[in-house]
Amino acid sequence: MQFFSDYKKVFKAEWLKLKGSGIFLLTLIMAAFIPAIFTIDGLMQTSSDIVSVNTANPWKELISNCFMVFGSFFFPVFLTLVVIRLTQIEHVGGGWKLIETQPISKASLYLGKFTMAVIIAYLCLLALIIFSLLSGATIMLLKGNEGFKNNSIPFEFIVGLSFRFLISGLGVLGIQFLFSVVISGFLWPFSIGLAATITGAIVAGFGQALWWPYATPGLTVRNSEGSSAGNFLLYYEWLSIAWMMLALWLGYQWYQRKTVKRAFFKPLSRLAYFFIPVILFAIFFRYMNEPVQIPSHNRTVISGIIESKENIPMVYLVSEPLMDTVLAIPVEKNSFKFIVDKKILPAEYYFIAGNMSPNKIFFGTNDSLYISMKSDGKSSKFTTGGNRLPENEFMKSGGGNDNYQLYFLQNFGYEMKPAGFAKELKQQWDKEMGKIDDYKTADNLKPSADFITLQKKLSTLRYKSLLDLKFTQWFRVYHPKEKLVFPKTIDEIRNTVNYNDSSLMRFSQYRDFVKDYYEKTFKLGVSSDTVYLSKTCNVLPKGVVRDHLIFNRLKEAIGRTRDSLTREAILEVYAPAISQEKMKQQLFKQHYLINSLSRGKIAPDFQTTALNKDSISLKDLKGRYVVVDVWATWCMPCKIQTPNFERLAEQYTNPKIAFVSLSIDDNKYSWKNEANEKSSQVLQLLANDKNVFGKAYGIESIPRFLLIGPDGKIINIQMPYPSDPAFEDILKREVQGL
Amino acid sequence: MIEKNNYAIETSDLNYIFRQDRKVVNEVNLNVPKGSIFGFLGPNGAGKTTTIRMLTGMLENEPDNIFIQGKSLKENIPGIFESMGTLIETPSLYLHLSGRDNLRVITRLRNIDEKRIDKVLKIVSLENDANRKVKEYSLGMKQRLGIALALLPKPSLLILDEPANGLDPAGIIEIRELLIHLNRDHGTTIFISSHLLNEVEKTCTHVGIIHKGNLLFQGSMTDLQQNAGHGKQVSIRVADAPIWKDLIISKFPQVTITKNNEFIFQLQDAEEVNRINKQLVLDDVPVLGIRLNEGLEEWFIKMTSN
Repeated sequence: MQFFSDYKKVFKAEWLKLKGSGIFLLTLIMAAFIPAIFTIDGLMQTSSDIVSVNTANPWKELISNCFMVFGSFFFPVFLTLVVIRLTQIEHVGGGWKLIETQPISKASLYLGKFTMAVIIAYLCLLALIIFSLLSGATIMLLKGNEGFKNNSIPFEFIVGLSFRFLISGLGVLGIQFLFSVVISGFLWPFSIGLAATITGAIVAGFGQALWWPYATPGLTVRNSEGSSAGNFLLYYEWLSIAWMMLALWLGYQWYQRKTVKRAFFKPLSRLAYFFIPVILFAIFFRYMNEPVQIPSHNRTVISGIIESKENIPMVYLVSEPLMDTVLAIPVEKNSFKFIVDKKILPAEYYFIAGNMSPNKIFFGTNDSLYISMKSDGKSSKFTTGGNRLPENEFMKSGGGNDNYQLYFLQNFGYEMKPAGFAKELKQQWDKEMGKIDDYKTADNLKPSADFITLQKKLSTLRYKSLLDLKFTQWFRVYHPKEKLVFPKTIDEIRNTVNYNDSSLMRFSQYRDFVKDYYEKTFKLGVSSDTVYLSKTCNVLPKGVVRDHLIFNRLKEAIGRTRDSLTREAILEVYAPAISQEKMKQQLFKQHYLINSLSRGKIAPDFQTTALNKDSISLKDLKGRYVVVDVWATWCMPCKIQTPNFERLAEQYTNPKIAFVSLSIDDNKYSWKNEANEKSSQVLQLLANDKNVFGKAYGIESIPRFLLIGPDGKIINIQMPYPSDPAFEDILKREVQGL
Repeated sequence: MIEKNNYAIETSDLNYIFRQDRKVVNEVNLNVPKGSIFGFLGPNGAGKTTTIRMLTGMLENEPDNIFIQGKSLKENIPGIFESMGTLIETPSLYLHLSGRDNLRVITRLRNIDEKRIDKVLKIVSLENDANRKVKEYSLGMKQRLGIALALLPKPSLLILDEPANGLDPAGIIEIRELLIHLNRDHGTTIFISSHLLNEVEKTCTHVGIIHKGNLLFQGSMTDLQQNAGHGKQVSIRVADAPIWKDLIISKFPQVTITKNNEFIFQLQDAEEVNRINKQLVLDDVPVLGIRLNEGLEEWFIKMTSN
């Protein structure tokens, strides 16, 4: 109790000492710096969007960005400076003599001062938040940014993030406090803090040594939403607390006994003061730092909530490549729970709910999956939980496929000798496999072994095809008389994945991989449709791989062939070679669809909304030729075609023809922002239901251009691109008197 | 168990070894009586400050051999500071704060009524500078603020390390009077270190002399004078000394002449001054001045010079 009354006194005295110390000024300057830069940047940008339009809440993004920039470097340096300033108050005045000859315990002195450092750190974060909000308000007022006006400030998020951010700095505070109390100068503690911060930023940038306390603030802001597993803190935030406690204990002993020797070595029994806390820390460290694999569930369960403006009675789990429905789950009162009794192969599936864009998830037998999907019409938020959480996060993160050295080998490897090439490739492969092995989430969760094996196989595809196809081919060109011999070491790469793994067929990269391999091996690539198909049927054994090759080529041929009878003939001959019934059905379905969309057939009606919010359907345009540009704001090739389309619209202002841009965007704000800027000669429309529209017209990719006659009948469903003179030729030929 | 209650400060065989070979404090047994003004005297580097730092717990000391007001220092830190005021070396002050805020820091740490601040400011004559920042203070003002900080808790034991440092003569007299007043009217025991003998002579009731870490003498001022009494001298200034030199030497063979033309007579006892004076008057020697040297200074210099 004496401690607490002393602690209170120390705290009051410390508060008084801050007067005129310059700490508050330092705090304000540090906190204002980054929001000021964001404000200037926001005001200088020509577009009114400092943050992208698609963001749910620009306030949130602005604050996250400010924290992000502040976190990895400024914050640890600021903490270093604060601690130095606080301790310098004693050092400069004559070295702690005054407060140490007061009837106040040293423990309360030490902790009281440390508490003050923590409070100043939090004040800095509060100031940072206030400046960030001011920055947002300035941009909103001066640039009239819609996003800021339409969204409220996410206070809950701010409180949560700032609190975790403070915790992430505790380790740095504790360690810097240890040094700054015993070292009277400015230079050494500052150099230690700066060097440790830079080291942390670099090392954590490579995803290594995430336990390093000086890197923790940067990691916390990188995961601004916090734990995805519902934990209070992320594991390195717990470690930050542990670092602080260890540093406070050791620092206090050192401070109290003046020298390291007296603190921990003399008499020898003092060793316990060092080793017991260090061992406790080491145990906790190991416990926290060791990645956890979540055990699988005893049943197969999928549950979750769906919040959306549209009515969603069912959600679906579908699997590639044919988009078969694996599970159809009824939704009641925005939530669903489904116990699966059939066997489900652990793999990636698409989760489909209404018109919201599908999300990839990893799921299989004995998994418990929780899904939360929220959409407010502008944007949707998709989160998953359950035992496959690390797997699902791995997929979201993309698994880190950016490898410059591999790119180099893929493009310039022909200059290398087989041994050198193999050695370099093996090195990169080992690195990539290591990355998969080492992957863990911010909650320190690790994917299960089956998933890791699968990811390794998928990652190996690029390496294997580089060895077996690309380099082999190069070698034939450059060394036609030599025999290619790779060293034994690369067998490990080759044995990781083979060319006939039916379980991998649902991954597009594997399908492309086997297709590429067989086409090159049997020289199918340049053959005509019939040669390709007959050869494939002859050389490949029956099975999913062959099915895929035939299916793929048939599908291409159908899409390419205008004549209905030719299409039918090729299907009759080769479709029976496919063993999977579903594939055959799909091919015929497509064939019939194309038939129904051929010249002279009634064009399916579509429902759209114009910029002025009028509902417009195809029927409303009857009596005019309608030329449609199907596009979306996220589609880059569309943007290349649009100017050509607009040029023609400006050129042919004849009322007999209507130029229509039909967007299939999900986010109507993104559409609105861009459509507003376009040519007034083009009618800007947004599809009410892109799926209905897409299916009706058999649209599998955009840009796509349609020409419909004044009688509502199809003229051409697959126009060439407007950049092609043929586009204009067709218009001139088809439209009378243009 | 020895009765520890008689002394405000008591140490038994206090040692401080700086590195292996250098004993900065060597077997010091201090006995500072309660109610005394104890002058801790020694030349620079004698071990005074080290001793004071040990007495205030600033230097770690393994054995339990320091007793403050009868209580073990080791066992009673920090509670023991409740009744102690200290000023060690240069005062520890918060330079970025005003004088008043410096005092407020201590009132907060000690739970003292802030009204006391004005009283101590008045005692050290800093009332008019209380709101200035300490970094603008002169050395003497800082010293006085340091004393004010020590006085704040109305301590029954005051430990001051060279309190006269940086003070002008008027300030020194003020502090001296203050200390005497505190001692007489409030019974405060005062332990002051100094390297100036006459400073100690004028203020202290007791004295301890330390040299090269050894406590050479410890006792009351009276004891000190008796101890040093053997070497009493009288110096007599004479006009045209060289003329009278031979005559005086013939009468008093042990006499010595200084460059200032002073004749130094070694005394057997106090009566001898009278005899010498009579003789000189009889001989018509033109005496300009007679000064009795107590011999303390010479004694102190002799003691501390080897």
